[in-house]
Amino acid sequence: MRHPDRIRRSRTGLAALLAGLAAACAAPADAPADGPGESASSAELEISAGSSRISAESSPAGSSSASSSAAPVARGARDLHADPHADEHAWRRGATAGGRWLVLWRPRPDPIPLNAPFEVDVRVLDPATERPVADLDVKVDAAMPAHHHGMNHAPLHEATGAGATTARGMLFHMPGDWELTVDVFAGTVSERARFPVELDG
Amino acid sequence: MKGARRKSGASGREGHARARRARLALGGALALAVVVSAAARAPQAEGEPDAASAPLPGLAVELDAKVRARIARHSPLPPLSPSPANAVADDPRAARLGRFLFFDEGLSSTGTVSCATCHDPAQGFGDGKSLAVGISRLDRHSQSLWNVAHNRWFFWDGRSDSLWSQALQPLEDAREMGSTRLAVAHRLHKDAALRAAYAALFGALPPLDDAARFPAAGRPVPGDAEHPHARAWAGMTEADRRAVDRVFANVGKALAAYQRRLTASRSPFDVFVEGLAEEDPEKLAALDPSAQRGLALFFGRANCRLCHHGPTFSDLEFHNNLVPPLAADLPLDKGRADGIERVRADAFNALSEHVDARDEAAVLRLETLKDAPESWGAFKTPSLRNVALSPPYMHQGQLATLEDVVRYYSTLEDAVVPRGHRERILVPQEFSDVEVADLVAFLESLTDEGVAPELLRAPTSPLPPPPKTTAESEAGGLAR
Repeated sequence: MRHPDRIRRSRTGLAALLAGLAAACAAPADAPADGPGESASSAELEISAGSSRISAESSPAGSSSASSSAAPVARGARDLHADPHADEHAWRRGATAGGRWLVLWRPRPDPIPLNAPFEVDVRVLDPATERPVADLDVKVDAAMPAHHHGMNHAPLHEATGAGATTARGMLFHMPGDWELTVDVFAGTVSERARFPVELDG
Repeated sequence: MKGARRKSGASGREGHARARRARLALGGALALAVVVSAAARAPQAEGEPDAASAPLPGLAVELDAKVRARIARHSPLPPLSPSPANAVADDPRAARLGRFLFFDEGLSSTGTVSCATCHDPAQGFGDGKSLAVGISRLDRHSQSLWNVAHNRWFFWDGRSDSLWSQALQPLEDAREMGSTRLAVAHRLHKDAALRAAYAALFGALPPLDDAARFPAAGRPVPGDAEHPHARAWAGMTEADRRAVDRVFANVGKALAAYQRRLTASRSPFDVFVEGLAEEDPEKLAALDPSAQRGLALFFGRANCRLCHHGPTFSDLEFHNNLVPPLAADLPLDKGRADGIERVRADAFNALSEHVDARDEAAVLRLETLKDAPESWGAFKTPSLRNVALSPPYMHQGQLATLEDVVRYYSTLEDAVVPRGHRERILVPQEFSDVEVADLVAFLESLTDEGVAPELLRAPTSPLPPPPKTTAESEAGGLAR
């Protein structure tokens, strides 16, 4: 069977190269450094076994650090759009394909358990104002693209407020790469947001 | 260097340029080192060691941290969850009644077939045949009942959503036990011990002596209103039909109470997992080197765990693994696609009036079932615990031995690719002969036959033994 880790490892090497070069080229915000003795920008590369998670911190002397660490890997599942600055039950966010809406979602429980039921809360916002959008229909689904199959269940949807929906009866029955989709409908217009979720098991 | 003085003007710009070149070189070298390091690891298959996982004494294979964590999620087998729909699921009296009924050939119309006919304890609670044979031959293989209560869906196609409702179908299937719910109720009524055992759990039986109200045989026969059983059933009052349905459901609940006790949870694999966690060489030795290599394959390159995952070594769901049918003249088997239709229509499913309490999780599963193309020809992933005890394998017993199973996945020889969906991740694994043997050794290590011996045979009575008198206790009275 295909090993996504092989793909991830090759991406790891490439990303590491790019990160290293980017860090090396970063210059201090203020006065130029004097020769090789000054503390150079450095890139910390954190590569965990079998994953492509990379945490790159660039902390040139004299400038504020601009860290953009990837979200902590949660037991059982991780998704690649997690907001690292969110609260414990992180809302993931992403735009629909045409940019018409901003979708926030979170699973309960979090992280998504393997082969156990979970729910998904969804919020649909106006991307310009980040205010909830009313009068929408939302449908949550998921599939394993590499396997060419979806879930064995079609979740029930319950509107919980303006632009807010909860999908019940979700089940990721296999470990691997899932794609969670959120379809937003407003009249005759619909757009989809996609969120990759990796489930280990 | 730290402490070097800042230079100004042209020499300062030149110095800055030199520093920038130095940083570029340093960063490039660093990145290159990382790439080389990653490339050096590229051939590493999943499960092979990294620097963080030095081999343990007693461990014949090297397992990285991720694979060890994965293995740890497969043991121990957790206790069963309560069964809200079956109020007697964990009642020892119900388990005893259910054990008696399980071995009772009097429940069949011929008096020759019991549940144990196809689910023989001596054959891993299977029957050793490719296709089951009750009163006559069926079209599928008898599944083992080890850890059966851990399932989410029952039968190869999942057409029952509870263990108690599953037990009812063979009773009325013409090829299995050929009986009817009325006949089953009369069986309980006519035997004093059964009548008493039933009453102790569920209250008195209906007045089955009244032959006019309760014919000797009868059941609903979907699609055949003229069947004698259906005519007898239709001739009863609604209240009497519901009363008999209630008795029938209770029989299923007693059978389920017994089957819930058929657990196999402490195999050499489980001891090995403890050994990994405790770094105990003695426990690690529970698996010999061949089984350990098989374990590494199972949880690594072979990816068996994609479907056979979790403490039961089953995802409890359905897949089409393309295995060819046993014979060309067998009926086309739609598998799960058929099962979905049947479980929705089952009068004893999670939505029925015969549940003792509503099981919200089961109701949600039932209500959200999806008619998907991938259900066509899909069958339930069997648990691998005690798998070595119940050959042959697959839904029609197509593969005689575990070695045949592993070789099938190695080559996918004769695999039947459906016109619709196929499991895209299923590709030939191309195992060597040694790897085949290792995987078989690992599967055999999932065997635990440590269940209480009395569960493997019929009790002398469906009623619990009377409490011992003081004299009997002091004398060390006869065992049950």
